[in-house]
Amino acid sequence: MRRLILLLLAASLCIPVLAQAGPGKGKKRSVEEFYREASGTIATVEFIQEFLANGQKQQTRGFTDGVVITEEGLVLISGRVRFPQRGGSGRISRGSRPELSGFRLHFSDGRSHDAVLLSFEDDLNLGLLQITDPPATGMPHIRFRKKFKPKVGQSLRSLTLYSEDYARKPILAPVGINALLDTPQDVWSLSGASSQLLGAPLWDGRGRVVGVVAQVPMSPWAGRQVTPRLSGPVGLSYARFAEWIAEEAAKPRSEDQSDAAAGAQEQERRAWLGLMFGPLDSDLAAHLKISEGGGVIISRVVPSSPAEAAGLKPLDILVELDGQRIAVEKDADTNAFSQAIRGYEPGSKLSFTREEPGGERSSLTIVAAETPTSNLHAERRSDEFFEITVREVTLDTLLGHRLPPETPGVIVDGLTAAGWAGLSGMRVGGIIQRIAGHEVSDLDSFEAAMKIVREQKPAKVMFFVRSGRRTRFFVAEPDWSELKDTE
Amino acid sequence: MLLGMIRTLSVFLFVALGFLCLNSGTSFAKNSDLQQTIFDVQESALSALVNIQPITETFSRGERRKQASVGSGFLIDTKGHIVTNFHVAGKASKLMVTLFNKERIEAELIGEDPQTDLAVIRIDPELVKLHRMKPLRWADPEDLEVGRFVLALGSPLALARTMTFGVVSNTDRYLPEGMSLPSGERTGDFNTWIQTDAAINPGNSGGPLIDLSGKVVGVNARGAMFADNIGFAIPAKTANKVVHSLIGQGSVSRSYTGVSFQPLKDWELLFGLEAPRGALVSSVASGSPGERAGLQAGDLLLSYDSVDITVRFEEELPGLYQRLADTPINSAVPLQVLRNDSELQLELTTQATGKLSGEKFEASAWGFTVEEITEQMAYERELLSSDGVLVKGVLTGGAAQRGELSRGVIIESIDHEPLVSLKQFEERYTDITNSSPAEVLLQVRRYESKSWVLLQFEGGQEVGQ
Repeated sequence: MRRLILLLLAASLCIPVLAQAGPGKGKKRSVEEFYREASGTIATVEFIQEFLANGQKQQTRGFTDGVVITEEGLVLISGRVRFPQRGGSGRISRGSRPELSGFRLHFSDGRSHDAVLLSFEDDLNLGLLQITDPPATGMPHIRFRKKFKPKVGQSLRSLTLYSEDYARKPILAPVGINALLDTPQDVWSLSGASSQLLGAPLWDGRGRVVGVVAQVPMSPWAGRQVTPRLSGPVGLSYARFAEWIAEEAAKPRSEDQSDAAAGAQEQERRAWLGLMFGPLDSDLAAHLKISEGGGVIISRVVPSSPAEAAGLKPLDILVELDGQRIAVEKDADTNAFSQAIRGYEPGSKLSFTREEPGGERSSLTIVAAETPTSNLHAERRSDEFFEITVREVTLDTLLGHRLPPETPGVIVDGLTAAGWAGLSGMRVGGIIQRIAGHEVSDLDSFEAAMKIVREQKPAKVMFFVRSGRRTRFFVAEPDWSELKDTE
Repeated sequence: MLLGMIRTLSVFLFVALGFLCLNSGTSFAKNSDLQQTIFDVQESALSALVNIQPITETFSRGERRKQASVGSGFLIDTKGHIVTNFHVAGKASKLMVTLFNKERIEAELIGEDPQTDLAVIRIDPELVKLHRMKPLRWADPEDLEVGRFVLALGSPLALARTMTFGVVSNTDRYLPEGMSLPSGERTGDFNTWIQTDAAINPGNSGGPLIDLSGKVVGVNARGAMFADNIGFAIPAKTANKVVHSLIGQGSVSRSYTGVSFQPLKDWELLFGLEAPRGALVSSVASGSPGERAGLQAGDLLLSYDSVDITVRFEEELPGLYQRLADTPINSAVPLQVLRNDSELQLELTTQATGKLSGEKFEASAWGFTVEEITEQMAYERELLSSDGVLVKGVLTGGAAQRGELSRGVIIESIDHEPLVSLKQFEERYTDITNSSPAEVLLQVRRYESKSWVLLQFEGGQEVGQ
């Protein structure tokens, strides 16, 4: 009995000691303890965005959550910073991919630090910053729980500093796991997670971070196969980004990080074949008399893609890649296959084995190309007088509209409703193919046509716009006397 | 004490209100010609009004289901023909009609026209005589004007024999292209609409909008959601013509060109014209008669079949589409077109507008329903061809749902045998279900994507649901 009392006494004495040791060391935390410990690791990240929207160059202050993940000041943020934000409110508006600069972190205890952008992970919509001021060491930081088995119904905790409305007081957000997704794996549906929490960590009851709140993108056409059918925030397990974090943390950093910052905003170079596929389940394989072990059934081949060049057709079945069985038997397995393909360098030769119903096999080599430009990374141009921003035609858009790959034009990316282009009735998403009789095939010809229009100053300017397979004309009637104001 | 005061006050209010009602009612009845006219019109028109209870079949949930609804209609002649909306009586498998005197009788479908949302049904002419029903007559379209008093008769929310009162708010309302009926057919291309503030609610559909001479100015068809007193009726001018065709031929024959237009507005100078002339070709469907004629988006159609065309405002578009549709089918029509400052002479050969929707079939043992793909559906939906059958619905818990078949895909083959038509599908289905296989393999397509669906049946073929 005495031993038990001593043990309890010792345990009670330990609590404050553990609390001082920082988050993530084993013992269960009360909410108060967790709040106190974790508050020092999260910061409001303030940054400057410069982007083209509605035909005008805009500069806004943006805000997001950041969490310090290493003693040296590596900071995890949401990839949302790459989207134009409206007036710092966090609401995403249309516009070009912003140039990012001026990152500064504000902690709830009054500390502030400058930071630079290191990298983005396109698939996961996450980014990393490095604190540069002062020379970073000894930063309070979170600890990841590397082995975590999530369960449906599990309660997690999150904190956000994102809102300025609370005088930089961290806001506690209880979050629950309400589903574990099969596709993609290690992604959870969350209850209680609003878009305010994007980028915020998810802590377990012992003060260790098991994942982050994220919004997993994006279009499968740009090579991203991570497409949960959830539109809102999801929980992203640490397992999904552990490798990326480890690689980034291990990279040597130069003093001048400007090159890294510029590179971080470029689209990653990844292998792309131009095919869509589904799993070959065992029942279907047996029915088709195809060997056991899985594979992929090609559902669509992108025109003019490497897969088409190699002679791949819809309903072809691929069972081996470089001599290894493609073990894809259910939806949950498809992501691994996508990741495997994208692990190749553009230009690599991928050797596939194709199997016909009945079992006859043949070989097929596909030379991987580089992932086509995504809508996010597409180049934009603006015409400030007409208050319109356009972007290059991307494969995403062409396939979405069911248009052939060589479709010329530029996509209306944004326009001001009361601007000259907007007043014509034109809408975002249309493909401009002709302006005042001048063919528009790309961004350069768009600029050239607009230049001629500005020089000639016609009373009416006709835009020929394709939307899906239908076309329509819009006529802008600018007041040319306002032209000098914008030049 | 307090209770007593409340009671006294209540009695006072009741008496006061009753007095006000009585007073206003009496003065109106005695002094208002308008009130008397409304009474007269109501009396003369009511016998033509019917409440329609169609039984339709739906296939959208993967099985054939019967569905009951309520709409309105009105007698148009002594032969028992009743006008209503396509979305009320179209494709009905059974039609019951309640007359003004609450007698309930059966009716038959005579013809339907989804493109104007009109249908004609018929009751026994002997019953028309027996019940002394007086047919309504169409109003002269020339008499239609904004501000004219109108009455909407019908069964809003199934409340039979309801009359509402208002004015014609607009005689020529253009509603944007691309409206679809609940059953999916495109509608509204060939008419503008009468807008009225006489209350029109669900159930009013198919009922008459009549003027104070008791003549039909329009067929009530739709209301604006989240708005007060904005209803729309198909004008008598359009309805009269369509109803005439439906009674005579059972259908409306129209030519299809595949050309979409925009109004020229005041853009004539952009085409080097001094005065507005022509209609702007905005889009030409691939494979359509318009494309075969060489028409291109951006052309200005100056004349059609040697008749000059001018469409300056969008309200004029339905008239142009009607003119094109009225062209005899398979006729070669000369076109005068302005393209890049040059006038071209082209020739367009019209073709018949096909069926906007196909026949349906329930594959009950497989747990889904299919629809025939008509040529016209292939045009409208931009499908690659009309081969195959369209999956209309997938039954929850059936073999198709377990095999992840989804609505909207096209079945291209069954057990590796290509499928072209619904008839083939029905034959294959019958053959296969008779042999009770454990598995059936479907090859399906959604636009350019293809996949396989394996239907599996535990212990052989499933029993139809």
